Amino acid sequence: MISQILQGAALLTIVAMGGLIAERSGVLNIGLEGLITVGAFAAVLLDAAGLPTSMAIVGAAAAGLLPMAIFVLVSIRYRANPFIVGLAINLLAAGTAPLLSEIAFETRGSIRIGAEPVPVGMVVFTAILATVLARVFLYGTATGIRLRIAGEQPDWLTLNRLSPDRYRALGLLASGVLAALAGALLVFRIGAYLPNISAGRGWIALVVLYLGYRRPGGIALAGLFFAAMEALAVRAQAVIGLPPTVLLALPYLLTLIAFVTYSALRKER
Amino acid sequence: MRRPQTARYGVVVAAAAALLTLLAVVLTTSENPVATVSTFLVGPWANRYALGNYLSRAALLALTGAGVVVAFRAGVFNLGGEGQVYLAALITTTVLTGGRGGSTGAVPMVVPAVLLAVIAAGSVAGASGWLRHRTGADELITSFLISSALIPIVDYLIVGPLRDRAGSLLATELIPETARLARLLAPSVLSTGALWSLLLLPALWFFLTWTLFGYELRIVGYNHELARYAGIRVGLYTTIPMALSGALHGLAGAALVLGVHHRSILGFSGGLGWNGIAVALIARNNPVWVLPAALFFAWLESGARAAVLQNQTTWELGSLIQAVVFLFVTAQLIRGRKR
Repeated sequence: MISQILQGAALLTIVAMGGLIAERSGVLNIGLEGLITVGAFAAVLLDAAGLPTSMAIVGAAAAGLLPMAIFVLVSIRYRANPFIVGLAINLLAAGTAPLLSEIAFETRGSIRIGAEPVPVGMVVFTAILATVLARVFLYGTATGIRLRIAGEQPDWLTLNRLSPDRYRALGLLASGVLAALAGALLVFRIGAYLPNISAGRGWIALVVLYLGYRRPGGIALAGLFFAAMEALAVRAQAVIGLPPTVLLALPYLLTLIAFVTYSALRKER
Repeated sequence: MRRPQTARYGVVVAAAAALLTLLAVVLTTSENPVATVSTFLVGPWANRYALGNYLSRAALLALTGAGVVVAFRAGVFNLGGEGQVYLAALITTTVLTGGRGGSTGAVPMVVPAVLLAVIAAGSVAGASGWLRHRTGADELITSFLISSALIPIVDYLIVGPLRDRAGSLLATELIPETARLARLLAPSVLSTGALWSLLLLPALWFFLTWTLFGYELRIVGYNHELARYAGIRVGLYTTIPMALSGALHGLAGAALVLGVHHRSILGFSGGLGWNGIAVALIARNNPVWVLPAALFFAWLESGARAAVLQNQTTWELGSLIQAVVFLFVTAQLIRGRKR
């Protein structure tokens, strides 16, 4: 149970850290859910192609750049609404994965991978690394500080002849890599690719993002808290006999509460 | 500009991209691409049955599309259409079948059933507008989240407590025959419910163009600050358009039950909300263009379904086309026009 919680917390933290970098640059990335699927599917493809596990994970994380390049092109260069584009990314991932799965593996169901599963420790280590790096990047480097300014005072950047768009593109691409990385780790952790493997994690990552008050350390704590709550909810469901379909509503309800609370607090300040 | 605006070329590009996606998917998955494309293109008009179903779908999409337009015009965005349609459909069914006990409802219950469904959907959407006004929480996100939480709950009610145990379908009981709307093009599902859209769209156009409420609504949508300085109650024009939008989605849900399926089936309203957004964006938020846009989108949808049902292509075709439309439809393709 402990390792289950740690694994869940680590994966959520990695995705939310990506969401954080994008959100801080001024664009909320709704496409995280789809990016997890992209990373997961790329991981099985690369594994089937015979790559060693470490290479497959790196390659799958890089695969997250592809949908985000489309996202950046359409939403920043052509000024499309980022929310609608994020939904399009989710739909594209949900539509393309089964199609490619059918073509490459001749199945729409689960696909087992050949490689040995990675230990939980590695997933946790990656999450801690992502948290530390995000912290150092956002608060300790010129690029990271400008990225945050792009989210809060874009006019200041423009006045200093810097383009906020460039930092937003960077933030979005980073979120794609991290979310896809989480998807790949998930596949190598459970040793298989399943349809709908993201299972709402991309949305919960957004809750974690606001619950952690948009700070790397806070997000890691929120991720741990949320994973523990989820484990408890699953236990409670078995004990009091709550219908499992109703449990599916939970991530959205919690996101709603976290988001409204965050907005209300911010308005008061 | 934060609000989704459809650029002039965005629509053309989105439509072209949708057709290209269709061709690409068909060419990679179909064994006989020519036959598949022709099934897709003429499928919706092939016979009385297909034509009626196609028109019925277009009428429903026009209702949800109109719902999205009302909100858009006030500068708010209702992204919860899916859940609102589904909820309203279930409420209509439940009132008319009297819950589990069998068919207590009949003709006198139809109007209250529709009203209740419309009010429920309107309140759910209105709540997002109100939250936007009171807490600043983006209604785009809250309406989506509320709807996504509603869907599994409605799913549970349909397969659980309200399920018709006699049938093998994951669905509720049928509503009494007296409560159903008359069919127009038998054996298709086209019913007098399609006339609702034909009546409502001109009314919506009149309301937005020629009434004080519509005028102030458009000012709020055009410029929030300007409206505030002009003494318009901005909060009112955030909540009410969202509620109206939800109400129109609710009406679509009621029409779906009364005219098409006569019961609620698991996931049966899927797509009406999302595609309503696509219709509104293609119509460039103009009520006059909602019907043509709905006819276009329903044609894409029905064509895809016709091709899928003949096993000529994959199930994902519909969602891929939708994704591509979303990707391009709000894009501003003329360079140099900064926000």
